[in-house]
Amino acid sequence: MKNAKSASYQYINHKIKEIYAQNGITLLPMKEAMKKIPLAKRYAKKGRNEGYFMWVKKQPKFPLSSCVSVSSKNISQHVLNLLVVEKGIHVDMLSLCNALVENLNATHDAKGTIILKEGASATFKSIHRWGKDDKLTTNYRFVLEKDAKLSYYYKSLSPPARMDIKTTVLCYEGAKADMEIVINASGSDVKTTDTLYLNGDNASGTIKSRIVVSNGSEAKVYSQIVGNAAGRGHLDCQGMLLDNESRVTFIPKLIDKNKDVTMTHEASIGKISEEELNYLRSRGLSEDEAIELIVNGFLR
Amino acid sequence: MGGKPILRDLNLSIPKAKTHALIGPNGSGKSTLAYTIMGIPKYKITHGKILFNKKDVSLLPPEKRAKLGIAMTFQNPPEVKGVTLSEFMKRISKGTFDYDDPIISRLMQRELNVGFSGGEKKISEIIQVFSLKPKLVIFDEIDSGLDINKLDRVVQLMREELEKTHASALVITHRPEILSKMKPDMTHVMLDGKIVCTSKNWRKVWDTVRRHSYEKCKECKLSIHKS
Repeated sequence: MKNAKSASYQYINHKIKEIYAQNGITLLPMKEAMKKIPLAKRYAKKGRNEGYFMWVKKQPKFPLSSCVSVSSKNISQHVLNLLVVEKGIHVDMLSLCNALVENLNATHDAKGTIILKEGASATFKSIHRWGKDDKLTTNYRFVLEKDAKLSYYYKSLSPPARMDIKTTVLCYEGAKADMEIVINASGSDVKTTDTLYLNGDNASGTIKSRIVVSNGSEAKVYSQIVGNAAGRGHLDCQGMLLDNESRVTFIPKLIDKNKDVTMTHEASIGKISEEELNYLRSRGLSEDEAIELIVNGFLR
Repeated sequence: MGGKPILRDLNLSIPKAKTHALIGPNGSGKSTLAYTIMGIPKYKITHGKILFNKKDVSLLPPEKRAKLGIAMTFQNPPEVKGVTLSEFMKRISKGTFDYDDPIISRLMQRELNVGFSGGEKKISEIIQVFSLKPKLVIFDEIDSGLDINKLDRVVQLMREELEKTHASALVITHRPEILSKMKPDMTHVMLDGKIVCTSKNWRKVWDTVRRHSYEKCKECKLSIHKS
């Protein structure tokens, strides 16, 4: 069954459009969950009553999805999401946040916590598509209990003029997290802060960032790994600067508090090579088509 | 190139469906000629013209020349990450392509030129340029760095494609093996940016070069039209 979902949450402006979940998954609007469910109460935050509470207690057959959109002017969303995955369960989550048209002057401010209990695993894909004049702030926190596994992928191919995204992953004993952040900033101020905590022995993880900046963009990429226990971590930041009007700053940080931690990092910023461009042009692509192909390949 | 003249007083014409070879020592300007015909921006023409099917293409960018039917295989094609050869071929190809060959099928699934061996690069270059349905193909040192078995495979592919398409070819080389296999209709010798010899008999040209080095070409009588 194509496009089948085990749970789906769709929200437009300030209204729920669809909310359903299969047996074994509790899915409620956060507002309601805060009153009824002690687990949700613990994460409640003042002034935030939009968003979902999803609790996966049985292995779902299909992916989970959430879609939060803006379709009218001057909407300001303050979202709080909580996803809890019980022991040993695997979920595939697709989270889409977008403005349905340009020029809505929307504010999307999202916070969220994702808890993967012992041995649970998740692939979490977060796709953002916002208009130029929208404001985007996110702060997501992933808690990986013993032996949990996370594969996190964030992608924004047309960021708004201002965006500030923060992702924190806590890995306990034996947990493993691979994070990948992909941004194509054109005329945008982008700030990303990605932090991976190795809090238990044999915890491991990677942070991979791929950022392309053009048309007067400024990107600041803060990525850090904090080694509190004997784990392994690797940072990999690569950027591509397409013009002299833009600026990109990588601030990779490795903080080691345990002598048995192994941490490495690599960072590089480059431009589109003339040689590659000429090669592709000689195969019949125009200069713009060749740049697009190289950029898309880099971000892939 | 970079303000330094490399090619001078150069006359070369390749008729339809004919294969010409261009030989010469390193640094004589062979690859510069290839890039100039292809229209790579840093190679500027200060005097003269490039005519292609009677049309002056001297000022056209490489993509326009490619669309008209000029194609070239690169000696060291750059790696292009994130796109497979198969995806790229679908993007550039002017028709369908179908190769019943396990090596090519495997290559198709890999990122363009990324980690390709010498032989794989050459095969990839050949199938790419022929997918463009070219009228003229410049093979820039297509034989460099290949052992004799790989060279056989590469030449076989070149010959098959040239026969199928009736394209003209300019084979740039400094190895005799490819000449003996391609049997060019005409062989040119380039020295210091000039074509100093043009002959129908590649074997004689090669023998002269082998016995007396390229310097001899300046004074020998082999050429049918001495410059």
